[in-house]
Amino acid sequence: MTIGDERLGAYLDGELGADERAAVEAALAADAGLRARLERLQGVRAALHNAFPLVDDPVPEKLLALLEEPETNVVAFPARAAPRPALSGLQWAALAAAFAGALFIGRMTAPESGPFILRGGELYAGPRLERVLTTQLASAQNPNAATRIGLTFRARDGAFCRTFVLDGALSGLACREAGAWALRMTAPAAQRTGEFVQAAAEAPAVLEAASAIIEGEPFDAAGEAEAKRVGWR
Amino acid sequence: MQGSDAAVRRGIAELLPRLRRFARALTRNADEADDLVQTAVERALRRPDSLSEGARLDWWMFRIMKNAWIDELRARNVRGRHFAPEEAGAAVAADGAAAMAVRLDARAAAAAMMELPDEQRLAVSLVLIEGFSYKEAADLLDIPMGTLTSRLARARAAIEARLGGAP
Repeated sequence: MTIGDERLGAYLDGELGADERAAVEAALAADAGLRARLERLQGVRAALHNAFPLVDDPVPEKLLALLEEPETNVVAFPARAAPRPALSGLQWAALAAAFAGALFIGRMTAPESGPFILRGGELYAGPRLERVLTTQLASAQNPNAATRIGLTFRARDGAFCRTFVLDGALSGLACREAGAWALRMTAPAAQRTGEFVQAAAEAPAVLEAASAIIEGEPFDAAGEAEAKRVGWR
Repeated sequence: MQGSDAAVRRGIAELLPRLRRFARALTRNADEADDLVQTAVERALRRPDSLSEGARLDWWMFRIMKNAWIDELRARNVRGRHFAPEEAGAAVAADGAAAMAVRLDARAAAAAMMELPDEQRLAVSLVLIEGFSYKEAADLLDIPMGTLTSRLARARAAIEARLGGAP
């Protein structure tokens, strides 16, 4: 089966249905040339993200005046009812910056495809990220997966938590609470750049937040699989 | 009902890093980009009622900015130059670069973006940089999905050729 650029691109963009995705993956497994092609297309996306990062430069005065919101970089989240790990000011700043682009205002409905949803003033994984967090095992994930799982562990409050890198751009920490993945922390992913390849890695702030709440050690492959088997409860 | 005016302002303020990134991907320098953001935000605040119930604020804002940008291009009377025919750039995507690894050079990627026809740059910005789904991007641009996917493929190939080309 011939996989054209449009289909390969759609695969990378997470736009294929399960059958088509399986067909592309079968073709990739059989064809080193196609794998190389996929890598180059991933390189295109990574280079674009390098070229066009989020713009955190000071906002022009007249634009600020228009919005009458001098503290544009601060995103205040309401306090949670349940106890959560305290985040340092730095971590909150990273969180606010990372979410600055991802938030929807209160009354908007989040789309099916958005990574996060806002519910009762709290951020949770949206359907796509929810699926990844619930089903994807770090020990068996496709290296080309749009969203990659990093650490899986149990927090001191008993919740299962996982770190992830979303679309090679956003590093985050989510914990399972009452049947949903609550976002505890996000930050722009660290970019490890080699001569020819680039990989998005977890942000130091996310790893810090994880180490602040972890009970014991991160799970190994067997522990991770067991946590998934019991439904993260 | 829509969110209150204050909520819209707050929402737009939160979107600024992305809106400014989008503007920089479309225009040629940071000042031009911020002018475009300014225009788009002014328009949005004049017509907060155009944000329909259930619509995403970011989708709405990006659409307003896209329209503002196209108006700007028209006003400058450079439309003929910028809106190259769909076929332009397709030939760049030959297999010549096939064996070469892509150089992850941000400057080369930015330069490659600026060489793309405007409609391809819009597609790349919305999907590859901003992460909109194909459906959302096609709706935002008022084009069919098939047109969007072919623009994306052409643009990716052109950028790839530029990144993978001889140093």
